[in-house]
Formats: sequence, structure tokens, C-alpha cells
Amino acid sequence: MKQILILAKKDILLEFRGKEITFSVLIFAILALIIFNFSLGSEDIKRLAPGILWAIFSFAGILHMDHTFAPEKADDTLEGLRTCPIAPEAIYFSKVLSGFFFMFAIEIITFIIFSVLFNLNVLIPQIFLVSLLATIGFVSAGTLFAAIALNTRAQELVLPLLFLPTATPLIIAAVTTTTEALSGKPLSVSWLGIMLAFDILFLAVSYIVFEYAIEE
Amino acid sequence: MGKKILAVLSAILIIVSLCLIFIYVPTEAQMGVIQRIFYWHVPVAWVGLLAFFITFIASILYLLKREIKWDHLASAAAEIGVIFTTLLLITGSIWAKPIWGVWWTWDTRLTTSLILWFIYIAYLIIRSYIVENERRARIGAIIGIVGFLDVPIVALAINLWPTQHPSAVIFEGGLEPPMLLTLLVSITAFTVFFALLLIIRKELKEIEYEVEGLKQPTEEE
Repeated sequence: MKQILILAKKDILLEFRGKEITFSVLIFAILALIIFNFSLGSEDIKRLAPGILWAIFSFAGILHMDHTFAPEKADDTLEGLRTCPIAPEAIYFSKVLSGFFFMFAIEIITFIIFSVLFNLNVLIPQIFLVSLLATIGFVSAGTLFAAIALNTRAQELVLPLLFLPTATPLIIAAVTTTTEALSGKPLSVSWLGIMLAFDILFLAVSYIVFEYAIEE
Repeated sequence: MGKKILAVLSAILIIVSLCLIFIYVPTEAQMGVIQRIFYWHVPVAWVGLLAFFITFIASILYLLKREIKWDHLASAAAEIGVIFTTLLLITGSIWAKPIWGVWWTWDTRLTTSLILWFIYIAYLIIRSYIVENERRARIGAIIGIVGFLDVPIVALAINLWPTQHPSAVIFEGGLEPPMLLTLLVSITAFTVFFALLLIIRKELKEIEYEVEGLKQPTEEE
């Protein structure tokens, strides 16, 4: 547990110092909002807000998670981490933790900007819950797939090809529950359950198979 | 020898199945002649799922034992599975057009099959991105396991998802005995045919692997 926290702290610090990825992904998310504004008009955006937001987060998430192992790759430090007395699962969970931290931040800031731009308050507690569950799923699947993508040709294609079909239940659930939250209805338990099931499945399976993914 | 027996057996069974479908089985009252596609549509779906299940099991065995034969089996099954899932989507569309009036509807089974197809297409594409045999097998095995475990959640989510179309009722109150017989014969025919394809593809992969190994320059040269 301590190892996970230290590794995650390292990633978060590195990102804060460099500000390479997260800020750019945030800008991408806002740009996407603006493109949707021009292509759909602001009235339709309000109506379609849940779908638009989660479509943006899916693509922004892919962009962000594609760089999960970038700092390790640049100086070949993954090799170093492997030779350390650290369980491979600790590397995985630390990447999930730091990835979650940044993705969740990107989502919250995008929610704020969305509320300002379109005069529709999406910052409500239910949406935080939805974001929490969906983002854990995004990051737990995305981190495993990013590890798979390492050292393959056409690396940047691997993540979307794998992530988008496997994450469909998560995206459907997030859109449906966000729609419920925005129309003031209580969130349906079955959808939250699906997100939870997805989170648990991917965390558990990755816990087992991650060491095979980063083997050399 | 085993292949010959399987080849003859599957040829006979498929001919018998065709005879049953076009001559023996009565035309379904509501849907008419088009419903006969059902007797191949269902076996195709069954073979697709069976193939992905074999990929799943072989992937686990590969990670446990690290024997390349399990990777040959897993990838051969996935390739055949993708072909059969493609056939499933095509036969489904052909059936849907006259009955529902559209080629495609976002119904549970159709959508789940489509997502399944995408997952295994990704499996095949990503394998082709990796050059080293050992790595390809290892990464393939991970996708083979994760992809298969994901399918129940996909099915569950799409089932809950409010679709525009009413869920399709294929048959109310079960199949008539002649229909059931025809279906069972077709399923058997396709399963035998699948076993044949799987053996041939796996052997071919072993030969490809061997040739690949022979092409590598040896240390002494």
C-alpha cells in the first residue's frame, strides 16, 4: 500500500512539475465542447449534455491514458521499477491512482466550464458520484490497455481499439445516470451497479494479469 | 485421418441440415420463408461464442504454461470466431429486413454481438502490431481473457439500455419438434465444421511458426 502511494505521488509530482499531459488534455476537452457548440448549437448541447460530456471524456481519457507510461518509457525507468522490490500490482495500482487523480480533475474542470458556457449547472452531487464510478472504470481498464500498448507498433491505436468496445457498458451507464441526475430523478441502482461491477472486474483482472503485460 | 473424418462428417451434416431446412421443416406461420434463416443464424452465433470461449481458456492456459501451442489455439479460435460473428451480423440483418423492416436495430442481441465483434477485431489487429512471438502470445492472452470477461457486463448494460424498438420475440412458447430437430442438426453440423476449421487453422499456425523459426539466422552463421 505504501509502495502504491509513493509511486502515485511520484507520478503526480512529475506531472505537476512538467504539466505536460493533463493541461493539454483539458484544453482538448474544452476545445471539443466548443466544436460541439458550433456543430450542434447551444440549445441542443443542453439537451444532449450527458452524451456530449461522456463522449468527450472517453476521447480525452484515451488521450490521457495513452501517456500513462510515457515518463517510464522516456528513460526506460519501467525496467528500473521492475528490478526494484516492488510488486507489479503496486505499479498498476499507483498508475490507476495517479491517472484517476488527473482524469477526475479534468472532468470536474470541464463540468465547471460547461456550466459557465452553457448556463446549465451540471455540478451536482449525483454527477460527482457518477464521475467517480465511471472514472475508476476508465482508468482501471485504460491503465491495463496502456501497458499492453507499450512497445507495439501503432501504439496510439491500441488503446482506442481496445478501450472503446470494452468500456461501452461504462459509457452507457455514465450517460444514462447523468441524464437521470440532470433531470432531477434519483439515480437507478442497476446502472450504478453496472459501473461498480465494471470497476471491480477490471481492477481484479488487472491485478492478476498486469505482471504479464509489463514482462520483458 | 481425424481431419478427413471431420471433413466428411461436416459435409454430410451440412447437406442434411440444408435438406431439413428447405424441404422438411414447416414454414413458420408468422414470418414465412425468411424464418428458415434461423436454422443457420443460431448455429453461427453458437460457434462464434464457442470460439471466443476457447480463446479465453487457451489464453489462460498460455499464461500459466507458456507453451506456444495454446497461443496457436487461442488465435486460431479467435479468427474463426470473428468470421462467424461477421456471418451472424449478416444473417441477422438479412432476417431483420423483412421482419422488422430495417437492416439494423439497436436491440440487445444485435448490439452485444457488434461489440463482441469489435473486441475480437481489436484482438486480431493488436496481435498483428506485435512482431515478437512470445510478446504477441502474451499480450494476445491478456486481451483474450479481459475481452471475454467483459462480455457479460456489455450484455447486461445493453439489456438495460432503453432502446427505441420493442424487444424482439422470436418464438412464443418454444419450438415445434420438427423445428427443434432441424435446429439441433444444424448446430451439430456447424460445431463439427468448426472443429475441422479450428484443427486446420491451428496446424497452419504451427507450420507458420516453424517456418518463421527456420528463417531466423542461427548463431553459428
